[in-house]
Amino acid sequence: MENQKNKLINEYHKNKKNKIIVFFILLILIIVFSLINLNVGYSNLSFIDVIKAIFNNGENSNVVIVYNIRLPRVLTAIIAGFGLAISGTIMQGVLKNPMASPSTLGTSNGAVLGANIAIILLGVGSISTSQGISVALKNPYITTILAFAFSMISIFLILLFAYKKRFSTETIVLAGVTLGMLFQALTIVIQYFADDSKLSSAIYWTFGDLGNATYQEILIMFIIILLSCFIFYIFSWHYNILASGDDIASSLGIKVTRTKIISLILSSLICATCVSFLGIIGFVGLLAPHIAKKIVGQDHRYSIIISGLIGSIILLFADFIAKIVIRGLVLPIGAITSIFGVPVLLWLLFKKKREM
Amino acid sequence: MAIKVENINFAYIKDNILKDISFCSDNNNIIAILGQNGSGKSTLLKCINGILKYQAGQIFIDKQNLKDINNNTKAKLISYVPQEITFGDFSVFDAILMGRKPYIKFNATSKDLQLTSDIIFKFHIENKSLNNVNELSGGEKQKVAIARCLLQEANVVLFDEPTSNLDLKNQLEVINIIKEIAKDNKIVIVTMHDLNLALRFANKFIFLKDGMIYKMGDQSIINKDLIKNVYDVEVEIVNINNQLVILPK
Repeated sequence: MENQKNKLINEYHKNKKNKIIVFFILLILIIVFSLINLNVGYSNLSFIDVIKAIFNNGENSNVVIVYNIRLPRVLTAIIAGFGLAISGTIMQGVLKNPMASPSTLGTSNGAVLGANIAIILLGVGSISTSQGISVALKNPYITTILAFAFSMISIFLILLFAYKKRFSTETIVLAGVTLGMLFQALTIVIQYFADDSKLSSAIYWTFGDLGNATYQEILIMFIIILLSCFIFYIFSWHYNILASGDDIASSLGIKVTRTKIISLILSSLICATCVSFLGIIGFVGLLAPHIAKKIVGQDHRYSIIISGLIGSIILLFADFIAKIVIRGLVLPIGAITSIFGVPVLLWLLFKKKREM
Repeated sequence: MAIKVENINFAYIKDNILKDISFCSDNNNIIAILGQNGSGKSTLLKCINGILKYQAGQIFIDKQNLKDINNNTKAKLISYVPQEITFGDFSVFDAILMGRKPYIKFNATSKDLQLTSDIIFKFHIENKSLNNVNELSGGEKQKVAIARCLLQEANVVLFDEPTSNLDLKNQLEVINIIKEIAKDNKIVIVTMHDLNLALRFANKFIFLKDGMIYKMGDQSIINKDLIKNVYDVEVEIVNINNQLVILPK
C-alpha cells in the first residue's frame, strides 16, 4: 500500500514536470518567433545583418533599424502579449467566467473613451502609426494619460457597483459589460461630432500598434507586469480554490473580497498600461488563457505563466502576419489577433463541448 | 473539543434569518439541523463557518471566540462541505490537495502530498486520482469534497445537505464516512431534509422554525406533534428493529 501511495505521488510530480517542459518549449518558441520578426521588415536585412546588428556590429544603419524599429516592436509584442494574457487569465479565474477579459469587461472601452476625449474634445495627443501617418498635436502624453485614467476609472466604477452586492462575480461581470457599452456609446457620440482629421486620428489609435511604444514605455509595461505577475503567483492557490466557489474559498481561509479587488485592479492596471501606450489589442486576453487551460489545465501555479508566454507568441505571430501580408504596409495588429483568434477560440470551445 | 454557539442573530438587510440561536456540543457528536426550506439551516452553517458575518452573538471553539481569530486559523478549526459542489478544471489529486491551503505558504510540502495520497487511498479513488475531477460521478465528487475538507484537519466539520444529490448507495456510503469522521474526536454538524436518514446517524437534533430553534435534544424529542409543528405534515412514527422510521400519512 505504501508503495502504491508513493507511486501516486511520483506520478503527480511527473505530471507537474510535463508542465515545466511546456514552459521551456514556449520560451524557445518565443525566441524563434522573435528572431523571425527581427528579420521581417521594410528594409531588406539578411539574417546575418540582423544578428550582427543585435551585437552592435555591422553597418550603422542596420543597427539603427534593429534597435530603433524592430527590437522595440518585438519587445513590445512579448511584454504586452504576456501582460494582456495574464490579465485575461486572472479575470477569467477570479470571475469564473470564460468570456471575461479586459475587452469584455469594459477596461479597454474605458481606454478608448479616454483617448477619444483627448484627441477629439481636447485636441491633444500625438498619433503616429507604423504607416507614417501622424497627427502632431499639443501634448503627446495626454492621450496616454486619459486612456489610462478612464481604463482605471472603469474598474473602480465596476468595483463600486460590486461593493453593493458583496462583490459577487455576477455583479462584477454585468457591471463591466454594461459600463463597456456606456463607454462605447459615449465614444460614438464624441466621434459623431468630430472633424475628419481628429476622427481618423482617434480611429487609428483604436487599431493598436506595436510600433507606438518607446523603450521607456516598454520598461514601464515590463515593471508593472513583472510586479503584478509576482503578486498573481502568490495568489495562485487562491485562484485555484476560488474555482470551487466563494464559500469554499472563505472556509479555506481565503479573504475572498480582498483577493478579488487586488486581482481585478492589478489586471486592469496591466491592461490600462498596455492599451494606453499601444491602442486596442483585443482578443489576446481572451484567447491565450483558453489555450493555456487546454495545455496545462486550470492550475494557476502554471497557467498564469503559460498563458503569458502564449500571449507573447500570439502577438509575435500577429505582428509577423501584419508585416508580411502587404509589403511596406503594417496591418492593424488588433484586427489580425481577432481574425486568427476567433476561429481558434471557436475550435477550442466546440472541442470542449464534444469532449463533455 | 467543544463548540458553543451563543445568541446568534443574522439578517440580510432587514430580513431576520436567524434569531437568538444558541446550542453547544462536545466531540464525537453528530448534530443534525432540521427544518423546512427557508428555516435558516444553511445560513446557520455559513454563520458558524464565518462565511456570513452574524450581527449579534458569539461562537466559541474550545473557548476561542471565532471573531478574534484570522481566516487561516479559523480554517484549521472548522471545515465545510457545501451543498453545491464545483471544483474547476483540476485533477482529483489537486482538488483534494486544496484542503491543505491553510497550511501551505507557497508550495505543498511532502507532508501535504502524503496526506492527500493517504486519503485518496482511504476513499478508494486512487484509480481516478490523476483524472479531471469533473469526470467523476456525483458520489465520487462528494467523496472528493469530503476528502478536501478532512485535509484541513479541523475538529468541527460542517455538511450542508451532504446526501441531497446522491442515489441510495452513495447516500449510505457518505453517511458511513460522516459517522467515521465523528468517531475521530470531531464534532459534525449536518443540515438535512431527510428525517429518516438523519435518524440513522445523528445523535443530537436541532429543529429550526422561522429562524429560531423550535426544539433540540436527542432522539427522544422526536414525536408526531413536533413533526407536525415544524413541517406542517401529519406523520406516523414506527419502530423497526430499534430504529425510528417516520412515515407521512
